[in-house]
Amino acid sequence: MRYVLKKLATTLITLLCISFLVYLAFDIIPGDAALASLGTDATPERIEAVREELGLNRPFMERYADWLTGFVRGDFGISYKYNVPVSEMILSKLPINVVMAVTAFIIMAGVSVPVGIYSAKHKGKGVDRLIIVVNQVMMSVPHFFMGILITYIFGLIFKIFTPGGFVSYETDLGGFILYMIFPCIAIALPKIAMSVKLLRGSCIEEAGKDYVRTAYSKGNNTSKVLYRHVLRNAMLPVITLWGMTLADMIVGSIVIEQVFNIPGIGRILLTSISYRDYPVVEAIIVLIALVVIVTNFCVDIIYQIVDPRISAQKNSLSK
Amino acid sequence: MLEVKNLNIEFHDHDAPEHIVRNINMTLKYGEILGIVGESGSGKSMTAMAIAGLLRRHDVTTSGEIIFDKKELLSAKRSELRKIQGNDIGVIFQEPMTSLNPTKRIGWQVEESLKIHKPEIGKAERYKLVIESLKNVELDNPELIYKKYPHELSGGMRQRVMIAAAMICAPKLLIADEPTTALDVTIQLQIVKLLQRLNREQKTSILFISHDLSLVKSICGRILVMHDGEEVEEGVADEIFNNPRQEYTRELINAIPKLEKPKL
Repeated sequence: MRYVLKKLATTLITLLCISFLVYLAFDIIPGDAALASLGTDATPERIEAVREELGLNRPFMERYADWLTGFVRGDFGISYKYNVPVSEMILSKLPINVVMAVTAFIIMAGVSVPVGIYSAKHKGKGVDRLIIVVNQVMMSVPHFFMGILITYIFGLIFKIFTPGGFVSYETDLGGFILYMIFPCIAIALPKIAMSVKLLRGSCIEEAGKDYVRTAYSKGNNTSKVLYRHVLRNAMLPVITLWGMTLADMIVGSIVIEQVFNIPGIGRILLTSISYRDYPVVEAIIVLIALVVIVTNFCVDIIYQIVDPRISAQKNSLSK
Repeated sequence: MLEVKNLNIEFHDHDAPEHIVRNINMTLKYGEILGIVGESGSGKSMTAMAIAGLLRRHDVTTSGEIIFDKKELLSAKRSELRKIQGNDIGVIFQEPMTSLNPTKRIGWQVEESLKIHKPEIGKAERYKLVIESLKNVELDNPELIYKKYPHELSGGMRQRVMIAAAMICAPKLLIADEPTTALDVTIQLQIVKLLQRLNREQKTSILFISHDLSLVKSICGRILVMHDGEEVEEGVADEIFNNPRQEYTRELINAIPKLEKPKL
């Protein structure tokens, strides 16, 4: 429990640092709300007046503190470009990206564990070699290209979905799932390849350990030894990978939504960057950082549950 | 109960096939403790693993017969072998530090054989048997140890847990492959005494493998001395010790460090 609290404290401090750096960076970059709303041909006096009105001339720390307290309360400021609250813009689209990332993650976990174990169990045989080759190919193809391939194969050849089309989950849930599943597969495939490779190697390594021989001596068959004894130990490096992957998938969904023409957070991010709509960009960046850090926090906790030795080490170090 | 006839073991996962064990014969009666002694590389552990059915079949070729309880094990189907492993034959190994699964609780690991071989036993009854088994290997606070992980126990305690796990189905044969080599001398003695007591009370036959001749002599009725995969001699422990017929055995006996009074 002490370990969890400590971890929580460092997580919060990290978040604070990131928010500060992001805010600082956008303060240093030229261009602000006054310029954005008035355009480049406004007179300096007019710009100065608007700055005063928006409170942009106050000291940096004061503005940062204001922005931060707003952020914590869920008020991310007002978009320069559209003049609507940033939280409204983001929160209407965020579920799409979260659903995509989580679905991709579930696909990855569901596929890679059995395939990795199967591959380790049949090490050196034909199927295993095939899996290795397919893995290698999938790992070296970036997910957006995978997305283009999937669109071509399933959209244009098999005509399972219309490329560029999208159905909102509010109008048709079935159609929504159909249009979401392919981008999710595109995000998941390279990650599946990575975790299969890692799990296979780690299973093979664990299978040579002494406790495996003990497990056999009790009358376990190979499947039971693999699933009941080896898997849990072999999962440790994979969990680390998955922790990084979930955050990666949120970012991946931003890219892949362009390929599949899904109205998610990525589109907002791109337009905001080109219009220098800083409050929006800041909010999205800090939100992504939040997801990454919270995921890492969860991974640390899960890691400790899976491997009881970790907490013992940590405790003895902290004494 | 156990009869090994002309056992040959050959490894072929290297460049050239290696003959690890040649023409080993032995018999083990009910309730007996037989020791196999030899230096490392003498094939004693391989012989034990062959009897336990733990050699990977596609890395080795074996010939001869291992007859356990009227069943021939070398040619038995794997599924048949698994019914015997953990149920009629229990095994404990040299390394108690690594022979337990680090991510599973002690109770789970001790009761595993029961779950496999006697699924008809209910949860409450199983818990009682595990606690009894932990008590039987002289572990204090079995209820507490039930919930512990291996890294929370000392080497000696882990070896006791291994014994408890191997003995939970009351096997007819316990194979102890260098069970005390990795332990302190004082704990070695405790484990040996524990094995002797289990042998006396539960009539479990023990196949005790060790490189330590004096240890083997203190626990075993009969001894088989092995060297380079072959049998050197076999017989009653005291006789071999007092009156070795072979040069190699004599060398082994002379290699035992003796406690002598320092000369003044």
